[in-house]
Amino acid sequence: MALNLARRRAWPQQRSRRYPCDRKRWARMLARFANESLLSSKARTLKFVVSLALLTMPALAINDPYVAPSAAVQIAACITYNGQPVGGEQVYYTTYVTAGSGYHDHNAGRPPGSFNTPSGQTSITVVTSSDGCAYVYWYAPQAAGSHDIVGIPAIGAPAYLSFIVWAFTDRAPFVEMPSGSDYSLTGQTGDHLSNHWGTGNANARLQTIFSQFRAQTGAIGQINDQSLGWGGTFDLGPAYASASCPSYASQYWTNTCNHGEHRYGRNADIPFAGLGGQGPAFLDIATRNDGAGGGPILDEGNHYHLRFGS
Amino acid sequence: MRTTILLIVLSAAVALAQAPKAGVRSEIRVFKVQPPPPPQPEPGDSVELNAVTGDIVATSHGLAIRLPRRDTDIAPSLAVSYAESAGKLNYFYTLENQRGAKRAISGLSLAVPNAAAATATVPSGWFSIKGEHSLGVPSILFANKNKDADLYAHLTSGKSVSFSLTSTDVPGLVRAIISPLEEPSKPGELTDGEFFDSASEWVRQRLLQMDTRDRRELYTYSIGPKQARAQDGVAAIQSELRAASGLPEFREIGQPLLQASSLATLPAIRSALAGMGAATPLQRDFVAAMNWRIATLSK
Repeated sequence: MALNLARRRAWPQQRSRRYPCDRKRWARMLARFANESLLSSKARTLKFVVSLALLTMPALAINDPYVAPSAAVQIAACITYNGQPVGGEQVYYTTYVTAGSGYHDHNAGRPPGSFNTPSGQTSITVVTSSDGCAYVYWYAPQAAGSHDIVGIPAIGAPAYLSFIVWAFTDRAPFVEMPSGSDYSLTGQTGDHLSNHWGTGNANARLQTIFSQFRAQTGAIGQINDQSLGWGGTFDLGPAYASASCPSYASQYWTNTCNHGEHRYGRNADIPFAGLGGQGPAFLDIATRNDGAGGGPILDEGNHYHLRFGS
Repeated sequence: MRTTILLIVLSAAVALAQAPKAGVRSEIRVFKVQPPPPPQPEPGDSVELNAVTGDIVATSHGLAIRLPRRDTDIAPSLAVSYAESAGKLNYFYTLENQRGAKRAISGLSLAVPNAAAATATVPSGWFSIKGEHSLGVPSILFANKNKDADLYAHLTSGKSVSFSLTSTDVPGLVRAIISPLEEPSKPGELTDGEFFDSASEWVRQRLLQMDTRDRRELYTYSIGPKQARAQDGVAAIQSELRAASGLPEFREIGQPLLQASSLATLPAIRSALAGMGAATPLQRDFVAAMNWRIATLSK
């Protein structure tokens, strides 16, 4: 698992924004097609054939791969014959998500993105227009991750496109909160092994807050969930349902309940248990250090929810 | 094994039959990216400001909450005096939460430009921290470090507490932020955080827009170490007067302050200040501070 984590952390930084054809990536695609167990036998056969065809002539789109969670992207597979557009041809689109990507260590029910509506189909057939292009909207899910879209035309080679869905399209990536002597990092679960990512400002402020708090009170506080490494939905799932957040609302892969704001790297949960009963002093120190810069500090019943301004 | 070979041969044959024809080219292009659409209210969503009480009342997903204004729940009075000793100025502050206050005070922050060089003294049960305050400028925080359960130990209605600051800087107008005590939630009570989590995205955004920082803390002014003595002079005093003239806290004497800020000599400014008729304690403290500086510069 440690190796897996390290690979996930390194990958987005290593990938160039405009990347060339990647043979290893194609191999991963083939392996995924082969491992699809929920598909019908007809679909499996089609995908096996497609896999072989991909080896012969992959047509890789070169694009800016970064999109924000819940963003919509209009794409089109365009077919030409001797340079002329081919209209009236069917293109079969399918969208996938890479398991384990986006710092989600759980995969059951994971939405791979959808076509034409935010909760639409994950596969769709579209006919090319007179310009030879089959237009479709791809909707990124709320959760961050690595996504592939395959377009299989009735003639010509299948084409594929990759998107990385992450929260900081126009900003610096989040930074992992380092361990420190003035606080302890808590809250890691099997669903999210790494849960302390934040903006540079949020992390620096947290360190100052806990340093000052310890100096004044002697207490070593705790930092529970911040954000996931690529931002986006930080889902807790139905196990964390409560009276105000019933299980139907506290579902995986949504922002509807619990941690709805932990998407931007600007929030941190601070358990009461680590504050030595000195909540007011902590609030005064946190407020003076931008902890309420993004909205009032919230009382969550057993922890404070800090909101940094950037 | 035989089945596998047969499958590969068959698949290869099919693949060759399906292989792209010469001259046919296909690729996926990206045309446009749309950001996520703004959230829309869901049935039952409501966020309203009560114009009389200043409370925000919000409902969403079957839950309702009232978010009171905290800044009007306290009744602070901040008195300041200063005296020179051995080339330094000692600033004495008395913060009182006047009778009738509905909520205790937990802290006071003074935006002092050269906070790092000032020395703060606090009584037992309080502490001070130098750093930035929530407006992002240097400040000194005075806060209570009593335990949550010891509410009586905080600055409740009718109580007062005194602090002092020692600095080489001469007096001027400084920002003061007074924090109401955030009382811990009662067991079983719906907290603002629990409501926020369960609310729709639209309600969450409305709350963030409406439940602003100035509802949670009291923003005011006081007199504190402001100006380095070596840089004090007519220009520095003119700048102070001009800055104060536009503040609501100086509305009654705003115009005379602005006129005084254009006077070129210390005696002329002193004369203007003498006839100003300051109405509030803060206005009187400010005029007194400016007069103190003029007198010091005139020695």
